[in-house]
Amino acid sequence: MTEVMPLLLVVEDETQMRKFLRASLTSHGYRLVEAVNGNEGLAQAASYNPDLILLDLGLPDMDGLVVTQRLREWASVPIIVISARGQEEDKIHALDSGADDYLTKPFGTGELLARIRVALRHSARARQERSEPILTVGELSIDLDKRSVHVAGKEVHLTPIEYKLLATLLKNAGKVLTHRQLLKEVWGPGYANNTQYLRVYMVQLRHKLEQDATRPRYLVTEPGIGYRLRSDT
Amino acid sequence: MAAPTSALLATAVSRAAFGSRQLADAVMLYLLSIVLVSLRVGYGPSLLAAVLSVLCFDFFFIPPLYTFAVQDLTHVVTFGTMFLVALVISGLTQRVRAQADAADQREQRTAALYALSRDLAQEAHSAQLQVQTEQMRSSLLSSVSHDLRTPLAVVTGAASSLLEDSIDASTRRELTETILQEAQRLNRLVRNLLDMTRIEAGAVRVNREWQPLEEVVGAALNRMEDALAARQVLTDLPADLPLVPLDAVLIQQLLVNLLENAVKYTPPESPLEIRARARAAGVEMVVADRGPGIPPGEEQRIFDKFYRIGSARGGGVGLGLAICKGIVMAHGGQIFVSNRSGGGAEFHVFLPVEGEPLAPEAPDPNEEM
Repeated sequence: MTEVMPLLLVVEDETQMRKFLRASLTSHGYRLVEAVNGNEGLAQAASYNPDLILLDLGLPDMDGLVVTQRLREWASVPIIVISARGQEEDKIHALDSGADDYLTKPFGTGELLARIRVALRHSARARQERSEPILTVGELSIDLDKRSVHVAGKEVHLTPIEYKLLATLLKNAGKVLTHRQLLKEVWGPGYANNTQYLRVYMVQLRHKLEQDATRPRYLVTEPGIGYRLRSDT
Repeated sequence: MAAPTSALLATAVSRAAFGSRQLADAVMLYLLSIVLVSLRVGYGPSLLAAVLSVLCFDFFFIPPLYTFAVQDLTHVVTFGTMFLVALVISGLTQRVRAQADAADQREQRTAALYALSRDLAQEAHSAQLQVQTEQMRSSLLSSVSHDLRTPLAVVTGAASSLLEDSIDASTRRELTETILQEAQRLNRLVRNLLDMTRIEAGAVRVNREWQPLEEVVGAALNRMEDALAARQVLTDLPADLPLVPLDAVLIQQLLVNLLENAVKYTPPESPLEIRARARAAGVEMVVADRGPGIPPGEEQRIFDKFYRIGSARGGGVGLGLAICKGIVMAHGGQIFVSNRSGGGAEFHVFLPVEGEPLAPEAPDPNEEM
């Protein structure tokens, strides 16, 4: 039985960008549907039920953020937003409204495909009945049943908060998580603004898990946005 | 009017002071009055004063009194001498007056010339400045134009070559890589131009939050991963560095600019260092290289907009460090550069730390592990 390649919806008003995305994605086997503005994008999403949506935030007819919010009202399809540099707030809002990841223009094929792979993988995992107890990224592994963490085979002791933080990041390996998302997940909804706590704990995690905390292999900082546990895809 | 007045006045004073017998003293007073007339009024009146003084002297002092007759003929000599002396003195005081006037006029003329030459100098200066500004602006424009057009020319040339059938596979690959590299260079250039424009317009929002330096350093090194691949980058950030209030996106850009500079101006495999130390009122970061260092005397100018050191290759309009300076200033900090012992440059960035972050211990929802 041949596996059906995922269907991607590209919502992008720039013709040349669509050309590049089309060439790159189809050459890697993805099936494609295109929309040139927000309204068309929403309509296509409803008609085609894509496996992933690439959404440019700078659309002519609607704010990409609004498109994200509308989509999230009825769909859990992974959304990757595309934005220009220097618009961290837009990216944060989109991510907090339910987008899964972002790309900053200009970006290359490698980054594009990596983000798509990560998003599709997490989406597939979320739909599985059983989730795996052991997650591994590089030399870092976590056993969610035994609540133990190993780096290069050696066990590392983490405090409850540190463990929860790492578990959250590992469960979303490769995907960006905003400060807000991490704070709500680890500390609870009331702590959504205590970014400082998060930073301090990330420093502690880095020092326990990374060979060089200033050049982290796993726990990557996305300035102004949040953190990403770098996976190998 | 002055002449008769002075003569009569002298007469009155002399008579009152000396009586009619002290002839020598009277003569002195008459001469004095003539000098005064000469100084204040002029030559003609002083001559008249001389004549009138002699007559008054004769009338009021020379016996027989109150007549113009002269008893003793030696007094005629006195009159003559008196008149002669009066003449000479008048002449002399006139010359003095003339010289004083001439000096006055010269002074006025000199003052006028001086004012004129100062105005001319000012005009010349501002004209020169205008010319210089125009020259600089046109050379900047041509420099920016060149730096933008060159990579575009490469991209255009390479891409049009790729459309030809006659190119072999490995050349294709090479041309395509070149297009990518030049596009990345253009991206850096545009980013710098935009950043500089925003800084100049005061449109940069500094979003300061308490951050651990290792995060921005890590993020900057991550961004520069490919460019730094062939180098050794040593980092030295003490574990007990305090949190620093900074805008992570801006400080990351600051570090990226410093690292990009280091990549551009130092030998491809020479090592780089990033260090940080707590200081009295803040934190100091140092980005150090083993390149040619900064030519002595250029340490300040290097942070000027559009300034590039002589051997500027690899494009870039010379904005990177100006942007660094803008970012540091927006944080209330300082930036300077010095040469290292052993060769190379050290860029020092000082960021102030005021106040304290909130206590880092958040309550732990789960007690058990």
